Amino acid sequence: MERIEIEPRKDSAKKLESIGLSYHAWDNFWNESACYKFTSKEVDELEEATECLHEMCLTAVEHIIANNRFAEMGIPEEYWQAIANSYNRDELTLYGRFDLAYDGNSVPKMLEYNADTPTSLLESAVAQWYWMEEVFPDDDQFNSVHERLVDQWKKLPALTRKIHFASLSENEEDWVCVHYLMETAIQAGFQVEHIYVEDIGWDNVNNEFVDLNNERIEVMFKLYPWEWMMREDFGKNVLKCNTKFVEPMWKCLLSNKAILPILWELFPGHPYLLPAYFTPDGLTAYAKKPIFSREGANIELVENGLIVAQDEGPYGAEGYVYQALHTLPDFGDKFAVIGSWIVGDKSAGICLREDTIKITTNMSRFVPHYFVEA
Amino acid sequence: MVMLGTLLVGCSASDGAEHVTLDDAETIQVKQETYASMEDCLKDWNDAENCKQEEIGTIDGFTGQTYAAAPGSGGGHGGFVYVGPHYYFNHSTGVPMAIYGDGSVRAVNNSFVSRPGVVSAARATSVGSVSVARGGFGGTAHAMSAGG
Repeated sequence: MERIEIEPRKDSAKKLESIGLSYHAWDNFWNESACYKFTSKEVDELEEATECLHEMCLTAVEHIIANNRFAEMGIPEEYWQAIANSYNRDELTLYGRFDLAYDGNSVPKMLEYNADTPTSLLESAVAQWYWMEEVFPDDDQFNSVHERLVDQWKKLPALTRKIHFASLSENEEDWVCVHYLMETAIQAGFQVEHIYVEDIGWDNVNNEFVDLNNERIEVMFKLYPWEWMMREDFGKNVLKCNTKFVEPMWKCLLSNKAILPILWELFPGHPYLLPAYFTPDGLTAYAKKPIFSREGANIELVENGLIVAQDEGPYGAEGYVYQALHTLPDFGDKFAVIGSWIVGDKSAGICLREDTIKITTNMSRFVPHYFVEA
Repeated sequence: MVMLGTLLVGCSASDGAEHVTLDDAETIQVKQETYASMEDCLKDWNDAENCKQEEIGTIDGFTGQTYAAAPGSGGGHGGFVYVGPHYYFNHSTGVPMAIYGDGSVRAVNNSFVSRPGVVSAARATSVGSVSVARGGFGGTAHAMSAGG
């Protein structure tokens, strides 16, 4: 694994905008003045680690349900049975993204799992693929995200006609991500319709979520976290409607940072995991993470009692977990984290985001990658 | 004859902390058919559970409207009319959804009122409304991305 400085394409802005990546220039988010080069052996290692971690996560979900550990995860009691039902019914999961620390020399380490509402999808599936075809046409990229998404949609129940896609209003990044996913669903043969999260309606007589035409929402892809839904006015309506949600409710167990100490408890010493606990006792260097947190917010890195890095934010009320500190690999003052995509149950590719601080945030820059045979 | 009434349906948290605002609520049209005879009512609704006798002049608790003689009844049979359930059409399936007194809702798949162009000569329709609440999701975001 190697970071390489290269010349950006002269017309990159135009090309990125042509595929819908409208925010590529925000804080220089898309950075193709560098790229990461992998070997096929390293890609194989990432693929194996991702699928292994996914299997461990499913084991952890079953453990949480069987042992009623929802309270430790800050999940309201009225949802416990619904979460178990969602898992036992094998409700369709579309995708997720593990964040891994990896430098090509030591084994990948799981930092966390964005299992519910992962973004950076268009740039991962499409933008970096077109970049690779132009810049390194004789090499390859670890990227089958698009094809796997299309195939995964086809596993929805046969009678499904339309999928509604919900994203927050006034958030362009979320809008772009959801509209890309709509395209994958269209290619899978479904009708699609977008709705803003704030416009979702509740028909109190028919006990159904409805769109702006008062049409029943049969299947809803929601780029909106379960932990927020569960605390909002419409949350309990989820328990009495027939709408199928993507991601399903059971994925809230995996997007929750409390999964980290539970995984360590179930698989102590596993090479892909970092020690993690519900208290900092016994750890001298750790990352303090809110149970519910997004994009690095409210994370503190602590060494010998001193905070060495932190990011502000609104999270932490539900409690924290403490994960042994594992500094991201340093590529010349650039700290890179690997986002490893899983679609359904299969590893589907990677993306890289890098920052000048040791916490990956929503200000981190996306850097494309390619790999060579080795 | 068409009677109008309104049913506002809110949504509240079980702890009673807040009510969803209905300022921008939309309405679903809720109807009820009135017939001159029980036979006419059963032609539309098939099941006696869906039809009942009401005294002319009685106020419908749902719409707040007063039951009047059905068309073609010559003033009503002995001062009674026969009414079907309150119902609305499911936009997705086109099937009428009957609303029962206990608040439950059930699709009436074999109802004749769902067939376009089939009109009972002795049917009158009253119309009310129920609300679709909006804005119950999205409050936590506070301008943050929901992604990660």
